[in-house]
Amino acid sequence: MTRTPILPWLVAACSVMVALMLEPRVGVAQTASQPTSLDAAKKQMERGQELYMQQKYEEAAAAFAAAYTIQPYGAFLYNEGVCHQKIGNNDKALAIFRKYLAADPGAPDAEQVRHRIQRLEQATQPLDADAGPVDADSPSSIVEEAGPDLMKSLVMIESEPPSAPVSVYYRTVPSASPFQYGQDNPGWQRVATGQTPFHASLQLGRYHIVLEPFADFQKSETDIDVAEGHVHQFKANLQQGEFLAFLRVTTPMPGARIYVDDPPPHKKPPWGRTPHEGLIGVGDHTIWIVKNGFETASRAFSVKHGEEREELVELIRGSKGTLHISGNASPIHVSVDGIPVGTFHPNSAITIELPAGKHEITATADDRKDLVGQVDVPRGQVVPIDLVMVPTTPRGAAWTQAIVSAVFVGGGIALKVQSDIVYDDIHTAKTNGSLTESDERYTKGKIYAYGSAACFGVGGTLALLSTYNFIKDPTPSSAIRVGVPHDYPDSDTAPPRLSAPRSPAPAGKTAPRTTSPVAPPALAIVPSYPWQGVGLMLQGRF
Amino acid sequence: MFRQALPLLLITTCTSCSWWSRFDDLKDHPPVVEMENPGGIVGFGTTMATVTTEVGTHLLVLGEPNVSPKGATYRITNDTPATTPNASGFCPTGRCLFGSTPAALQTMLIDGQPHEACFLLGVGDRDDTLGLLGHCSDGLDFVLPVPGRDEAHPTVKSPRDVIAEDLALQSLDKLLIGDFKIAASKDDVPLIAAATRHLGAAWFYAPATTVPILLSPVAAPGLPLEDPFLTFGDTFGSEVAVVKLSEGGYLLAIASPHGIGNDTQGRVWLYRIVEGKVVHDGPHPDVPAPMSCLPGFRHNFGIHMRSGKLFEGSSEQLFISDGVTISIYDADDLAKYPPSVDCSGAPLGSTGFITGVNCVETASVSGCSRITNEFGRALAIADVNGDGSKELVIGVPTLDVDGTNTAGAALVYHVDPEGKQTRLLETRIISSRDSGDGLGSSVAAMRIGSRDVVVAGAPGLGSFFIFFCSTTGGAGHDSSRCE
Repeated sequence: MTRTPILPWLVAACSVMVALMLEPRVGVAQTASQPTSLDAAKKQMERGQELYMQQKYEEAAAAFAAAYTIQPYGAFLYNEGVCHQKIGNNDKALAIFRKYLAADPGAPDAEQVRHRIQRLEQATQPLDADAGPVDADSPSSIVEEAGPDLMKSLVMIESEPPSAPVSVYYRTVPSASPFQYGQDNPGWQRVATGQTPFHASLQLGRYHIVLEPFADFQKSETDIDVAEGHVHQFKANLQQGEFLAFLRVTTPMPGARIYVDDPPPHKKPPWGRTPHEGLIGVGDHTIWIVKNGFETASRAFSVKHGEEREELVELIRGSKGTLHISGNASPIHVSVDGIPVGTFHPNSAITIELPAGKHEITATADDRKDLVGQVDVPRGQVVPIDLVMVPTTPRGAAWTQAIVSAVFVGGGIALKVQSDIVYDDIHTAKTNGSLTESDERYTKGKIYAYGSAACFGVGGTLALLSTYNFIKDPTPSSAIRVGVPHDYPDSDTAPPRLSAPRSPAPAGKTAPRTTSPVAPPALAIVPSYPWQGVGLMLQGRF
Repeated sequence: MFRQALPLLLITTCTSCSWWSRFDDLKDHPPVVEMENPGGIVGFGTTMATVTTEVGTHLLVLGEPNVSPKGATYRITNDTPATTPNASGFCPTGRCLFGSTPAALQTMLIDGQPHEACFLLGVGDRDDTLGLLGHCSDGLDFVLPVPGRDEAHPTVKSPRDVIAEDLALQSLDKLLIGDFKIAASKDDVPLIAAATRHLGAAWFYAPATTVPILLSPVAAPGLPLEDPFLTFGDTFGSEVAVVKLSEGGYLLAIASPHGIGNDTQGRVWLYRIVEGKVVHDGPHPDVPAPMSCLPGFRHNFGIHMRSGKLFEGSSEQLFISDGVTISIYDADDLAKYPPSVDCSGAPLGSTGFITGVNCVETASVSGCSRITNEFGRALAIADVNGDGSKELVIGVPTLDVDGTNTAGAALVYHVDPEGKQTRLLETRIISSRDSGDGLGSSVAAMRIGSRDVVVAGAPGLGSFFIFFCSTTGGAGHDSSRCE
């Protein structure tokens, strides 16, 4: 689409030079609207100028002060200061000029005003009291050449739309050629820049005002002659390209990518992200609204020249969601609904797209308790889950106790058998009538019996202890820590479907964090069961 | 958890308690009671003898023959005997040689006074009298004089000389030469016989007398003493036994187990004594001579001899051992039908022989093949099972028991006189056996209740044991110690 430039100044609403002579205290009540107060200020400004020309400096100063009260523009202060200087009220003049600099330190004539203040300060020195009034006619700048007693004018520049960049150029050489935008323009000097609405205190002279091009708006420029002690107000309706229309696209969920006349797969960068507005060419258009986790929406419409069109597009979340699986062990073999989906490593979280709804997660890891849990996958969102694989309770002590118990029980059985054999022998001897009281087998059999009882006692105790240690499990089960579901990250790419485990990061590179990015910081004291023993471990995640 | 474990723990504890407490139960009233050495008696239990009276059984136990002049007597009346002896010592002078064959005397008339339950312990000097030393249960110690030198042959040594020499040698710790043997009949007033192979001398004391009557060597008046070694054998007097005959009188057996000269077969010479006199004269009138000779046809025949009443009936039996086999003879038959006059060829067994007994091994007892000369040395007759019939108890100290060498055992045989068969009923061993115990060096029988219990000495252990129970015991016959 081509855009044809139109008139730079649609409306020069006013190139008004108004000289208002206002009473010093007038305009206090001008609060209904800005134009009203500005008008009042203008009147005071013009009245002050008139009184100044009549050399009624004191009344003129009052008028300028009243104007400043209505609208606090620096030009009013400057003119008031000059009036005070005229009547020799240098202290008052100094205060006014200092206030002027304080109110607008970046004023185009700030340097000149500082120079004037220096001279006034010298004039007010006690030693120089006899030197008479300070000669104000020694300008060192263009402004000063115009005479220190000239009243400044207020130049106000507005635009539609606002925020247009403004540059103000002053013709320093009266014979200079007319200003040419984009040229060197000798004899012209830029004295002020800003954005509309813009105002500046300018002295008498020829100026060229340029509203620089911005957005789809073309530049606008004009020459103005600033008279002494006036308020100059300009307003420019900036003109856009020719045959354009205005389109605004909004969605309930911001950040959706907008593709204009670029069907999938989209080959151009998106026109913008919702909410977005801008000019488009007239005619038929189709837009595609794309946001991860939502169904892609499209609209077809036609716009005319100058039409402002707004499209509010409802986005429907997709029927699938994404699980972002991380864990605290390596590796963790993960299955979803009984189907293996991958192995988690510290540097390779698993991301899997699943139909929305409840899914059973099964995870296993070496020396960790098996995990079985359920996760509700939301529609069109990413839910991070952290597989908290709790280490299995070490059974080394239990096994040791069981083995020692078995040894003792076996020893007890052996000793019991030996005791029984001895007993049977003795009993047989007694039955046979050969048993004597001094038979050493009494002691032998008793020792066996004591030994077997001791072994059974120790073995039984160890067996109980072993059983207890086999059964006891002080640590919690492995569990799933479900994070807060969130939308897909804003990116120009499609949402991830399944991220296969990646190889470990090369040496020297920082491995990504293994826990869920949404998992809150946590600090916990958990039991620890290394093979050396049992203890407590301070565990934190930040 | 602990509530559940507590019963198990209690059960285990109680069960464990029973594991060892049951041994205490077994130890209560063991069937065999050990009677320990009262002290200082070397080889205590080597020999023993018993006398049964109305008040109980008197048991004499001696130590090693000719070594320890000490002994102990016990009175045992029930199955809980006192382990301390009633009396011990018996040799205050120290000049005593207690022999290997103490004799039990039911009653002994001393100076016309009867004394019950007496024993002849051996030889020695008491009150300056050399003779057979005796002790009665009433505390009486007495001496039976032995024959002195014949006035007609004053140069020939007599048994008294031998005792004197032995006592002298004993004081010098020299080898003894005596080895006196003593035997007595089982009747109330017994006939006592004695012999010593050193001289080939044998003599006896008629019942109710203390005067020795010499059987050998003897000579007719005016003639030199005959040499018994030439007549009866080189070891005449090695063993002596007395058997009472049912028709009256006694049969006195004196063994010569090593033969005569080159003829090494053992012989047993039998003298018949009636009313204190030898009824058979020799070639010379009034010179006692054996009525017959019992040839053994094997060496050592007669090395051990015992007498007793094993079978029902009035006749006693004579047990003659050659160290390996015991031959049982009927005394009456031997008296009626003398086998031989001079052992010159009459066949053995044709007269009086009932049966023979050999060592029998069992699963626990072995070593019969190693027996050379001790089988039959310890012999007793007892009704161990209370069935009214007697069994033969033979102590064999050299037997191995359950692999324990020379632990020794007492073998109990049933002997059937009709079928002339012998059968081992049981063996008596001790559970606390140890190598070298030598159980069975001596055996005896004691009447307790309706049955006899076996007593066996174990000199290797220095004690003797009373076996109160029998595996063949019938109901009502076992003591409280028997299960």
